[in-house]
Amino acid sequence: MWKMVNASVAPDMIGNLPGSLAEALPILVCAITDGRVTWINEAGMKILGAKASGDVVGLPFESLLAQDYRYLAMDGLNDWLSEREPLSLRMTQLTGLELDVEATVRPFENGCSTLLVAQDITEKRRAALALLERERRISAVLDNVADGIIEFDEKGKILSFNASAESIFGYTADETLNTSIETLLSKSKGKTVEGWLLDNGQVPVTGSRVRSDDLFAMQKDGGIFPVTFTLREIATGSGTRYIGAIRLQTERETLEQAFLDTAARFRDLAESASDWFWEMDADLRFTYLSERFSQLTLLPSSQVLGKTRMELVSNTDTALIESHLDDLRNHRPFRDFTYPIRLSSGSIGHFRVSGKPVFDSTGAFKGFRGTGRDVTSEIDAQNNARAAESLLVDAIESIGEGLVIYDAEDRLVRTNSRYNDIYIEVADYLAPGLPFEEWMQALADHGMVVCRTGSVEDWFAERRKHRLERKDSLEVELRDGRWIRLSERPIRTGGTVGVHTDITKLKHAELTLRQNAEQFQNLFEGSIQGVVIHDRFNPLFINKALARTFGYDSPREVLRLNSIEPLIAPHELERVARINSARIANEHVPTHFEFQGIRKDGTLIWLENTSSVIDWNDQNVLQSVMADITVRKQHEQALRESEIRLREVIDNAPMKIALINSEGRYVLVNSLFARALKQHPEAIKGRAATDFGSGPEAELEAAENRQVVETGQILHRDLDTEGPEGRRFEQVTKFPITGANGLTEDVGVMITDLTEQKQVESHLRESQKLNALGQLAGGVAHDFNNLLMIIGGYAKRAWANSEDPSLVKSTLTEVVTAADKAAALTKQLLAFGRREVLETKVFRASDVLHEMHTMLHPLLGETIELKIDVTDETPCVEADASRLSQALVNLAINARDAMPSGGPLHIRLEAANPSDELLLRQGINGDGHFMKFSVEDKGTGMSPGTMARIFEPFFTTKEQGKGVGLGMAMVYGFVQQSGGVIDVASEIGTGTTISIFLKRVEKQPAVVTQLAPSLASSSGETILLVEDDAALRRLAHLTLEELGYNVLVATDGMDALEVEGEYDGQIHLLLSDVVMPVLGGIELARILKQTRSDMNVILMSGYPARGDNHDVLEPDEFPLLRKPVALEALAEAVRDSLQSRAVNAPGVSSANN
Amino acid sequence: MMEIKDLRVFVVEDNFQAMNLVKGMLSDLGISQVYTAKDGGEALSFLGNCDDLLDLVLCDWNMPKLSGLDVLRQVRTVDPDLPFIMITGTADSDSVIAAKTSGVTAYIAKPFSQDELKRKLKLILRLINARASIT
Repeated sequence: MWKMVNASVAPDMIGNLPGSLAEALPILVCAITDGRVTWINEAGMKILGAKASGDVVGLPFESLLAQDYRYLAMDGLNDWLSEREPLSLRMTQLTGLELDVEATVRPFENGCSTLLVAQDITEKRRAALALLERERRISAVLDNVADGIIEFDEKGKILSFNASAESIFGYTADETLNTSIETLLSKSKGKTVEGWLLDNGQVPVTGSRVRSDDLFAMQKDGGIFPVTFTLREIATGSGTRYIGAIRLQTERETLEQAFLDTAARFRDLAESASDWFWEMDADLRFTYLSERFSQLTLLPSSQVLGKTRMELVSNTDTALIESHLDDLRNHRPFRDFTYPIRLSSGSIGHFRVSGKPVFDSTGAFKGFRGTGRDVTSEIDAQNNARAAESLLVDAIESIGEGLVIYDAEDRLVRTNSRYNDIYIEVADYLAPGLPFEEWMQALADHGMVVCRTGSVEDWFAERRKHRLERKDSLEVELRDGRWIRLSERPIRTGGTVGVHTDITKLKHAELTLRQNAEQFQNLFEGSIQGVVIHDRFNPLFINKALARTFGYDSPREVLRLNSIEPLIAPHELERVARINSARIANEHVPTHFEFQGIRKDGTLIWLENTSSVIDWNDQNVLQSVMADITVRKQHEQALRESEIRLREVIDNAPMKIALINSEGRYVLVNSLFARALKQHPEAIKGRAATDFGSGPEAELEAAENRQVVETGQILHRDLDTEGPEGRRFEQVTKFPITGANGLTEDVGVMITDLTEQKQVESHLRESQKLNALGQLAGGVAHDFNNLLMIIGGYAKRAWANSEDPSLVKSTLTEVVTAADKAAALTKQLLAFGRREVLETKVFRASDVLHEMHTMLHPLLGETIELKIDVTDETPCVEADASRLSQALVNLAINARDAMPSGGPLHIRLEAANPSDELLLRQGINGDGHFMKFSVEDKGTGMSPGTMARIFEPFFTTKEQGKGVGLGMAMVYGFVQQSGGVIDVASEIGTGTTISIFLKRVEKQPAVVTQLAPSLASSSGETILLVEDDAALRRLAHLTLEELGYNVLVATDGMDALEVEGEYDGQIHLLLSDVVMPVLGGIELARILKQTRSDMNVILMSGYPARGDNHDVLEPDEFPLLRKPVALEALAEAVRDSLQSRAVNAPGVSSANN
Repeated sequence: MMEIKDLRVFVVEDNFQAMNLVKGMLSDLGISQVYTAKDGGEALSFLGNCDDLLDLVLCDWNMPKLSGLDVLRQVRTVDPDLPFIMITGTADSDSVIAAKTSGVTAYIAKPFSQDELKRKLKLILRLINARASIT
């Protein structure tokens, strides 16, 4: 029905539409002329809120626009005509309400007027906004979900990636979009992605809509960690989608991250296409389609005209189509039939059409007319939004925690099934719209909650407080023993999302843990040893002692290192790790081992580690107890070093050292000791001392060792051995070594080689002798000068009175007497000067004293009154007489020095035995009788201290330069060697008596025959005279020539050899000095005797036979004359020799020689 | 019995011409085993390593650094019996006494003839042979 508002403008046709069609449209259609509305259809009036067309017609069109849009129409609507797309406008109703429209403007009535078609899209926009709002709310929910949510398609391509996923994987959402889900899964660990994703990357979820697996995920930085991957398949309008919820298995804390904003994927639904108009005939075939249709479908009208709608529909939803066909066949008007259509682009579009049957004036059915609208975007958006909502709901459902959402008014919006499960007993209350307070009341009414204070009100207060403060989390205990942890977060749009987790198991575990921890406290914290429980160096527990050991302030500080590797010295790390692994693997490794650790300050320490495998939350981990043994190590080291040092000292000591234990085995020997046994030191260790010797010597050794162990006393013994290296003097010292128990356990043996010391002593004795000789010479010179004066004086007297024979004779008698005295004096000197112990001989003891008198008198000086007493002339002793003289001279000189201003000096010889104590002390066998030589002075005397030391070498009380302190040592040495005893008695201020006891012998001295003082004449024999002293040579030469001998003279041995070699005649006698350089008399005689065997030999010597190779006389080899030789004695000896030769070897034999 | 030609002689002489002269004389006497040193140091290092190679040392007295007397003293510390003939130019009595007490076996004065050398060698040879037969 056309409702004509104004006859003058009532159009028959509007544009190229019949006016009635415009009237039938559910949209605003109005005509505008000169800026004023001249006509409006019924739907338009409703839209603008007008009751009658008159309310609108005549109004300026501008006034129908909202204030902000009016400027668009100020210059008329001609500008709008050129717009091809619908214009978005905001119109204002007569009631003042504003509404959004899409408007199209077309020229009308040959351009005099304008036709405006507008569609109200206010509701559509509101619906879209509501949809967005809902999505935002759900997004906010997901923002609070701790799980990583990843959406991907059936190819595995990632479509969305929420904030939790970002934090879990370390990727940003943008980085992952369009990449494959495979990149997030570890291919190398645990259950592999194989079986999850097929080769082509497709996800085989088929068969079950939800699956959940424990997998290993891989972070952007390569970190691999275990996750629970819950996968849900969702069919959407654009294909299958998968929602994966990733939960860190290790993470049970907060749920903070929300779903990624998926809004980008949702298109704006607010806008949709404008409508088009259509007409179909009685056969339901299209006869008319407005231009808009072609614009939308890109199908030319010609292709569509003549076809039925069913031919365009691509859907096979026959029920819908049948219903529509039913309307058409029965000529019923229809509204909003929506159908899919395949567009020429190939994609599916959605059209929504409304239509009305048209009858002619006869009432006959002519066809349908109506409008069509492209609702593709709207349908897609709805589909997408539905998919998104279902997706989000699914995501919420797939979360393991209970989830509850309240709106801004604190009314329940939604819970997930897990939430309902937690509160299953009161789940019936959980309908959307339930106020939070009522929910609390319900929980309280059903006695679900445990109120610690007993008051429900208190519980409410606590619960409300938490909800307002939104602290981290709240743990709530339920009556049935369960524990729920809840955390609540605000949603951006207002409202709250709560996550409720059943932590009962966790709580129980915590409780157990706490109990365990208490046990640990008791067990380990009290321990002074460090304890660490660790899983491959990852510390799980550390006690204070351990932290302290490594210089950390607290166990927590060590735990924060996340590894105990920094506690282990780098060079030890590999070894410790290897031992630990072996220990975990139950392989056979020591439970104890030592290693070096590092303290916090970097210092190295030594630790003793004891490891055991323990169970820790069903895992085999190591419990290591570590004791700091640095000090012990240092002590060990110091001990080792000290031992090495001692060892060096012992090894380098210039003596043999050994340690023998109580079983008689060597514990330690030094290299000298080992060398003496011709063994390596190590080869000797542990062997019995008796292994290296046998017989009486070994028995003595063993007995000594026992004695030392038993008495604990030091023992000395001298050892005099003859070996391949010559004679050696050694001193053995054995000393007890006391063990920790205070008892003697071992015997230390030190053997000092005194051979060289003895040699040095010998040399010193020699030098002392020379020293004494020098002193003697000084004294003797005085006597000699006296004698020379006598000789010289009488000789001059004789020379002056040569005519008086009796005077000459008497004076020469004096000369001869004086010469005899001088000879006796030099003989004494020479005896004293003998270099070595020649031989001990038996002599009459009194002879020594008598001989000494002449010598001592000048030596002692005029102030000393020398008195020599001999009580018994006959007894003999066996010793070295010259050394005895020397000893007595030494004692006499000391006595003289003790009396600086003179006094009596008494030398005695008597038969007397030493005391037993003296014999014992000096280790001398006291059998038999002794002769006592004593030297007594009345001098200053000695203190006991001095007396104790007088026999020490180099000990002297004399001032510098007067003595070297060897005299008494030599005396002592002589007495000891002679098997005698020496005794000292002295008192300060009274004087000193020193006595020498020598054993008396019954043997008698050899008798020396004296030559008769008569000169013998010669028979002209040839004598080879060899003498290196020119004066003596000359004297002897002249004497022998005077006696009628033929004398060949040689200056020394070599000269004699030369002279003899050049002399062709017979030499009857060799008269030679003994001591000559190169070729001495003895050797010369032997050489000459080789070619002149009949030659006799007489040797002369001022010295005893020397101790070198060629100068030792065999017994009875050649006769020896002692110098000085009186000329008579010489002549006699020559004569005797030549005469015996004449008897024993006749001259004939020599001629034949 | 050893003969002159068998003698193993060590000649120490710093003068090149004198050395050649001595070597020539020894060669004429049929002695082929002749060792030489041109100074005291060289002589001592040879003597330290020669063991019992030598029968006789013929040594010039007057040499720079180590004199013949120094060489003699060194020889005597090792071998008191090795015959040692000192070749002298001029020598004072003190030096001769020092040499004697140090154990020189014989002297031969420069200039000397081959006969004189031969006589000294015969003397030494006698000493050597006598000692050999005694021991």
